[in-house]
Amino acid sequence: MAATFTKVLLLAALACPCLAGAQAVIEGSVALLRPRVEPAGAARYSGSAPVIVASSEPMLAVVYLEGQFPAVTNPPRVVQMAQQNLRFLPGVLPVRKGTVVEFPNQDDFYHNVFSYSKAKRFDLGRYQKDEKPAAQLFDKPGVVRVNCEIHQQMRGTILVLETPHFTRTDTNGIFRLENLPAGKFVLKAWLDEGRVLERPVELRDGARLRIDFPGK
Amino acid sequence: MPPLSFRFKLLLAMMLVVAGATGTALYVSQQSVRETYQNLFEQQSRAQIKYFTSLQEARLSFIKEKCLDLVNKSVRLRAALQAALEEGEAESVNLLYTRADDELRDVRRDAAFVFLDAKGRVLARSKPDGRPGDPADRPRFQQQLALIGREMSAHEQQQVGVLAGETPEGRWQLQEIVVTKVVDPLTHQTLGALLLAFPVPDLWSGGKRKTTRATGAPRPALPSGAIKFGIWLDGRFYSRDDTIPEPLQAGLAEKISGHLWQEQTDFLIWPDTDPHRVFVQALNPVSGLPAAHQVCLYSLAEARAVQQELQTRILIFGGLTLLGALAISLVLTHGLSVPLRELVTGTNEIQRGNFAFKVRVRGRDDIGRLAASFNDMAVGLALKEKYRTVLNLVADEKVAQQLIDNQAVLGGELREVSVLFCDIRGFTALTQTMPPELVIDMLNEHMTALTRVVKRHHGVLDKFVGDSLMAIFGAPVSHENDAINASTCALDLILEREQLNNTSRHQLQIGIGIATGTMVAGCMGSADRLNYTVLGERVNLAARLCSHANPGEAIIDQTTRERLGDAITVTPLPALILKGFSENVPAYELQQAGGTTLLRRPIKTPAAATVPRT
Repeated sequence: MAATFTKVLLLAALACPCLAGAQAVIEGSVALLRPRVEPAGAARYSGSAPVIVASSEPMLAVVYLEGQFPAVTNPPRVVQMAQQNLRFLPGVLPVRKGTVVEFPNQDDFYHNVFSYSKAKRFDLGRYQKDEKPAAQLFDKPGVVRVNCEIHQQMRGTILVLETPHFTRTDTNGIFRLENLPAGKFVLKAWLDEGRVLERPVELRDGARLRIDFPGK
Repeated sequence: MPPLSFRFKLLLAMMLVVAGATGTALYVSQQSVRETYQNLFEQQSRAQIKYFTSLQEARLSFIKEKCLDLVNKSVRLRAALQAALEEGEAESVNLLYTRADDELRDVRRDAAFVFLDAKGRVLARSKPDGRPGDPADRPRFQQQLALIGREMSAHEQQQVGVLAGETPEGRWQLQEIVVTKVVDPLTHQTLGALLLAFPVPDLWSGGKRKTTRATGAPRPALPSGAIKFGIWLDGRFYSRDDTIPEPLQAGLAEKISGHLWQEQTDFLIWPDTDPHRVFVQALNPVSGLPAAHQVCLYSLAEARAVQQELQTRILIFGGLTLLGALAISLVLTHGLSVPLRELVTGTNEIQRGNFAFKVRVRGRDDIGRLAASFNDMAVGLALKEKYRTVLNLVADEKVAQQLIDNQAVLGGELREVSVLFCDIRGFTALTQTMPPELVIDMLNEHMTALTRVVKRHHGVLDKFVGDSLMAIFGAPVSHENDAINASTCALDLILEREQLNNTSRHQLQIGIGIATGTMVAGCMGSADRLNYTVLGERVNLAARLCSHANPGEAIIDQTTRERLGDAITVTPLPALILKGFSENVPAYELQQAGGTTLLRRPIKTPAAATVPRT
């Protein structure tokens, strides 16, 4: 476990093109979407689906910088999306294209992970806690929705990006992107439901930008 | 209106009765036929609708359950739908269909299915699998699907209905559809819907399709073709044989379109000459799907034919009955009218006074008894007439009439009456030597002539006493100028006798006395035998005045004189001393018109000529 972690750090360090020198920083906030949960058990739904408590995790946004970046040549990074307490953790996981994601089962019962998204279709089958976590390489950019066929309410989203510069906002929508190269880019904020907000940015070395993505 | 004969009335009555009975029978039978057919139709229609509904339920219940289960529980299906909706790419959509193909393997059988997005748009697979009945590829079907989508979120999660689609051969085909919404269990957001479509097996006789017929619901025995069952959808009627006449179609469209007959409803439509009873009920009253109705059509032609036949029969029987009734009436009235005619003749005869007429008695029935009674009556009448004649002979006509009218009873009344006495002068001397027959002849001749005169002057002949005659004026009824009547009568009596003297073998002279006054008039005698007469002192006076009168002379008393006024000329006579009267009685002699006293002819009979005044 510790070895893996070291490897991740190492890879991260390698992925950064230039650690030296003054790097640009973008800070800001994104107006997050409210989770859309309609009142359960509305009278209409006679033959309705079983009522499932919505995930308590708020819908986060992913902010990333889009532009031309050198391709990844190194062995792929490995990150994890765990299955814990009947949830995918984290619920939204941004990764760079070519990243391997592991799905360790941390619950005491079977889980399954599958995706029908075009960016990556896979089905990891069912497995338990102590089995070797299944891993999947994400080599095409796009939104990958992952589900557990056993547990309806488990939903995860993996955002496969071409850029190495991305981050998740916190639950208040605040984000900070560091170590950004200079140049002209487009800053995008991906919200769930497929909404993407964008803003062109021009970064200079050592610059500190503040960009807010207001709501509608 | 001319009077109607009994025969005519009887015939008329018979006709009315038969016509009434026939009409009632006609009405009742028509009503009953109509009701019977209506009940039959209603029953069978209800059964048919129930049958169809139960069959549909049986057919679809498993499918419905399976769809719900799939949509609500299959994470993979929802994930695939979400992926297809989000990405909208052929690959994703195909994956969705592949997934669903897999999941619906045991449900599909002959069904086609499509997924719709939340707006009702079909998620079309890029490569149609060449299924011949797949309705989702057809534009018409898709139009209807769009209608579903518009209201998708407003309705139940699962709805059952029918849609129409064209077959590849261009025919219209009814599809039974089950729409199950796919709802995200977390957000309760409607993602889309799964729609399964089947050709309606009971209506669609495609031939190749094996219908899944539920067991247990016995099919009601419908007379073939009597009831047309079908589904009305969007202005068209879909049924097993697929066609109904154009006017019927139009009639149905007019009645059904725009309505949603939630309850079972029936009505009549009347296109051209072929009326139909229609029984209709919405198939899917509360869904958001296009309103479809189950329709049972029943042509009333058969019921009408039966009614017509029944009507013809009843009319024929009615006609025959009428003929029979008329014949019987004719016979009966003949038996009645002949005796009646005879009775009428008899009555006429009796009216004419022919009491001897006899009606023929033909039997012992009512008519026979009537004829017998008639004959008895005639006999009775004849007898009465005889009595009356006799009565008239023995009593005055007026008195006789009063007696007949039962007005004359024993007892009398006080009236002013003029009493006239007339006797033959020298009668005793004259008749002493005559044979009695001759005397009777003479008297009859005399009295007959005089009686006529008295009657002419409204006098009542009271009685004959020997040769004298007593007449009264003013009783039993007064003619107002009774004294004048009595006086003119007296003068006429004298003239009459004189004229009789000219022609008769016997020469007679008469003397007359008249007295007027209040006296008792009435029927007197015993209860067994009555005599209408007057009593009083004035009667005596009249008799006395008569005996004082010379031949051809009429003497009146003071009261009569006063009553005469100027009507008749009188000559005062010296007051008379009369037996029974204490005082001298004033008397007057009546003068014939012309002012001269009566011409007294010399009397041939010496005895009659020399009657002295006493």
